[in-house]
Amino acid sequence: MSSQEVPSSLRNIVADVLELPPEEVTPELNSASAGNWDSFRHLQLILALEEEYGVQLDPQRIPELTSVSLLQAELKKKGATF
Amino acid sequence: MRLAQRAFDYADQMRFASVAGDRNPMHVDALQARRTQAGAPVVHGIHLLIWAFDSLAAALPELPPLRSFVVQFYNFVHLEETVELELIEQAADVARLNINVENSPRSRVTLQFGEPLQRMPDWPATSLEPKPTLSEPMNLDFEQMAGRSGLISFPLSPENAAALFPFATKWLGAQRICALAATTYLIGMVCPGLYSIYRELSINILGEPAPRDFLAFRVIKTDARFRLVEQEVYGGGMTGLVKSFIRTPPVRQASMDSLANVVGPTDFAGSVVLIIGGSRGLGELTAKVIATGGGRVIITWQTGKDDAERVADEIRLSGGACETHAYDSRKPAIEQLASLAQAPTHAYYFATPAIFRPQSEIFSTVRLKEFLAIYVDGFWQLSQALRILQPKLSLFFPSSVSVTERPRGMTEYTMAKAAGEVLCADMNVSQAPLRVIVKRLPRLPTDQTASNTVLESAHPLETMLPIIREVQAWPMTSTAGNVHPGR
Repeated sequence: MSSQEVPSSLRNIVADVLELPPEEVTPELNSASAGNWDSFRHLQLILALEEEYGVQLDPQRIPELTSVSLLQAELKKKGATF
Repeated sequence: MRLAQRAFDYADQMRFASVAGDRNPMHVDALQARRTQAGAPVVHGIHLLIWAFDSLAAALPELPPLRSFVVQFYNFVHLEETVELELIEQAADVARLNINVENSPRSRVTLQFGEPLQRMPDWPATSLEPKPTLSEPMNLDFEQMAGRSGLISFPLSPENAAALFPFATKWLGAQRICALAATTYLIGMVCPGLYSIYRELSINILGEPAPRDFLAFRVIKTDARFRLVEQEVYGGGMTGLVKSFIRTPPVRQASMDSLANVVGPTDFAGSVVLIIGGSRGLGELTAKVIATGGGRVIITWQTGKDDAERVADEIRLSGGACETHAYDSRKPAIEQLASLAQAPTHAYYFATPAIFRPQSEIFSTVRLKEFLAIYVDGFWQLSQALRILQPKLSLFFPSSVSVTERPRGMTEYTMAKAAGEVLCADMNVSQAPLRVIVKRLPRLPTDQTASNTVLESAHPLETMLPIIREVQAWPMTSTAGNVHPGR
């Protein structure tokens, strides 16, 4: 799958926090495949996404949102518009 | 392009703490720092930042004026680690810096160049209440953070700024360096104070630095989910936003009183139990459980003597028997055990180096050797020394679910635990009547696993009690508790 399947705003935030080229941000990108997606950057990512989309994610779900596709689905569930 | 490289030693640390006023124990007290997520004293993030500015200004003397910057502190930098400053992007109006250790970014700085702004803060920064200068950090609950505000005087003098960071001072002005240093005093000493972790600073440079040498602050947001505190700051020719976490305090294990409800007073009577690493965490819990059950415990410490004495005092006050003993798993066991008054019948091995440390590569031979030295060689040496004293010895080797779950970033830890399991299995085959119980422990709340993110962890007592009963069930010989044969 390609990075074009990730909304550009989400793609740019993930790329910025993880210091990746935007074209590498695909739906499959996850904490195991992205070298520096550690717990601290995960938190950075969550905070940046909440700020961008004006939503608040459930604390229990946050540790499980370890791929771009999971993040996108959860944000959509919370009412984010991309 | 690499601009500079250095390591920060204890003297550097104390000098900066003294002039900048941030004496948070995470930076200056090795014993207290070992009970934080960092595990050892860490360099002040703002010290790294100002050093980066100083190095940048030294390498590029024609730098344009700074308009704004953002610094994010991703991971701790420990003393003596070699830090590299890398310029990863430079254009007319922007630059990006990484502060790396072993090619792994620990902090990132994004700078915007241009004429400073003239905008003043839209909050009454100058009319806030001045705060007294602190020599000890405030110890506030998270709930006390909301709405806090005040004025703090710059701990760092312009003279010290110019002496310590001459190029940055020339580039940005002494007052701005003093104001930057004041933010670490704010976070480490005032708000949040004792349990703070500096996370991010976002600054707009203002025109001519204000004449008054103060930093105004006010908390504008708290988020209990992440124990996050955001504050606006203003002073010394800059205005901006500081984000920090409140780390979890040192993990408290169950008290002796509470354990009396789940352990009978004679459940472990007659046993003499050596607990390597018994001054805190699971070692502390194990010591208390066995002492509650009437066993005699000897808890060892490597650096945390005070912590070990605290545990021993709590056990003795409850009527239990506990001694403390210095022990380093990286040194020969026989000499270190020679002064024991009694031969242990059981031993639990909780010795560990720092587990969570960022690195750029998935595998480091050096890290593997560190883990093997403790988990394999240290355990082997201990078991063989104790076996001489007590052939029918019962031992516990704590392995980890990481051997099956294989979490990211824990390759060397997992390899060493797996190697320890193999050793224990072979010892059980070849060294009877010695017996080693091996269990793959889940993530349990300890100082090392404390986190600001919501992570599942098991209950320490519910996990350890059945294990302790199994280890203690191994029959003791009639020589249990006899005087050390070598004495």
